[in-house]
Amino acid sequence: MAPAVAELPLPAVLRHPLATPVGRFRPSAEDGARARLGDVIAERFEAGGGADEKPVEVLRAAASGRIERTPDALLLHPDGGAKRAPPLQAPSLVERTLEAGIVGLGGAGYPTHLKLRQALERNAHALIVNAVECEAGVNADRALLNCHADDVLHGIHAVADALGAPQVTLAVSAPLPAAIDFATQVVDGPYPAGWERALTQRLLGLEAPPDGYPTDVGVLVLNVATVFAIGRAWRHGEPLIQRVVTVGRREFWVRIGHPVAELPLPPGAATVGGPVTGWPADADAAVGKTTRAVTPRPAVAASPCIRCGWCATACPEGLLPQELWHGIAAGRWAQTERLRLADCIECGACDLACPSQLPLLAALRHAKSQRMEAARRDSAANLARTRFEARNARLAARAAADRAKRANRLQAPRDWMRPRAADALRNIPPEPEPDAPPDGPPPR
Amino acid sequence: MGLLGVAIGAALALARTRFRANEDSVVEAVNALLPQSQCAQCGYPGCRPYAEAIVGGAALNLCPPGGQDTAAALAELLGRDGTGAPVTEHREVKAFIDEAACIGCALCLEACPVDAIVGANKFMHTVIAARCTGCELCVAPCPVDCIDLMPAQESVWQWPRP
Repeated sequence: MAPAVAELPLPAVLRHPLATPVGRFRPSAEDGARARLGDVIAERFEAGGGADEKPVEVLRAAASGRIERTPDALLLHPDGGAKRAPPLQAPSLVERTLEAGIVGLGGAGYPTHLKLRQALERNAHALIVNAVECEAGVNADRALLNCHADDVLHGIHAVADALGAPQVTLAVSAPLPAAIDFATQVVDGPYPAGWERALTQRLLGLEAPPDGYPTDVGVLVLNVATVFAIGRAWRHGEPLIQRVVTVGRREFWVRIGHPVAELPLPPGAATVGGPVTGWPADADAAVGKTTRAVTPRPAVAASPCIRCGWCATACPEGLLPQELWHGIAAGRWAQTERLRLADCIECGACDLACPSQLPLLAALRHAKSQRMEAARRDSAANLARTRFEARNARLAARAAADRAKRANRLQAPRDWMRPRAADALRNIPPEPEPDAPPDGPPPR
Repeated sequence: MGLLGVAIGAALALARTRFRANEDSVVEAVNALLPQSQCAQCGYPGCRPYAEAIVGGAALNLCPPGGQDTAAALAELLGRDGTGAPVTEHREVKAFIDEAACIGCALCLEACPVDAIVGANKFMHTVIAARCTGCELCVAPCPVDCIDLMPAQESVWQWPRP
């Protein structure tokens, strides 16, 4: 048995940035309020969702303490108390997963209850538990499996029971200690072998559609840490408040919200995430649900692109990162669109391959978020245009109806009218149609 | 040779009438570049009327929400001069009705170009935030000044430029 994963002491403050790559959290606790361990302190809703909708993700307090709200973060000052929220109650696995605040802990952060629901709707016939963890220097999943295999198995059983009787595969990158009695499949391909699409293809020979997910071909792929969290939530009613994180070279249990600056790392710059897919930590960075590792950041000096094309060879999606790099630098968005920017899976293989050490992944991420923002604004503009046109059509129809009514009233002679008056009425020329907007700007 | 010339001439004449740039399609293309806030700050009652006016020769630099980016895009599309547009920082706002102060006069309902305000006479009104374009047209008609403009959404996540 591997040595148990150590638990890091509680920091002075737990920090939860509100803006995250998957969306914005809305604090549900007031400034200065007390939270018990496990209380819901923030929620995330679908973009454009109303106030009465259910959240797609909840964030629970990782300690009992006092809430402080700032414009862009929610802070929790632990008070050392032992007050706990009651255990989770939801009767179905899907509901319980939402209640526990579980998201894809492999890195994507997609709400797991949505993924489970999709798998149930499509009658998924296979479950792949992903512990391949192909990024060098990250061992959080492996440590979890070595030390907490029983809870992982509880999670696997919970999901498998919910799906019926799927074919379960536990994919690992190296054989497990013999003490763990579970059939595994060793996947040791080139990076990124642990990408769920590659894994589905390799283990089951099924290919997810280009714009879809493995659930579309009846395969549910869950990261092993996610499965562990499901096991804890289902069996013990525990919310997701901590995770195993590779800090430097060792693994620790770290509370969600632990400031990166207070992790036991050598002084100097740090990378949030693995050495390949991570990003530079700023002063306010904190461990989030999807943070698998925090590693020291080596200083690199980038040189200009020499168009060697190694990144294109490395890209598992078959994109042309060097062309995208030049397109992004020049702001040619149409070109990046033609080069299928949206298909980038942010694996960082191009970064590893680049002999000039260009920050290709950072540039691609930046461009992708710009693209999302442009799409959001476009759809908002389209909606406004449709509504503006519908309103104009409605007002025009109403004006036309009013005009017709008035004309009718004028032209229909009444019985009591004397013949000459009635004749005169018939000879009134019809009201001219009002013109479309007069020339020149009308008054505001 | 002469016959060929006549044939090509005829074909060209036909093509000229057949494939003339449709004015509507130009208006559509211009309209697609405008921000669709329908705020009327250009002096025309909405984005499409301004697009029609642009095709009819109006200046390209009248759109404050679009700012210089929109003016530049229009200039590129039409091959005209788009300089002099106001510099705008991108600031998204939404109208918000203070429901305690609202008297239910329904004046803002008529002012809203995108039907984003719900209410009726003598009933409280409210703004559907997801439909509001932040055009400010409802603010002036309100007799009790109960409409405020609030920042739409605090920062949306953006990966920084490396």
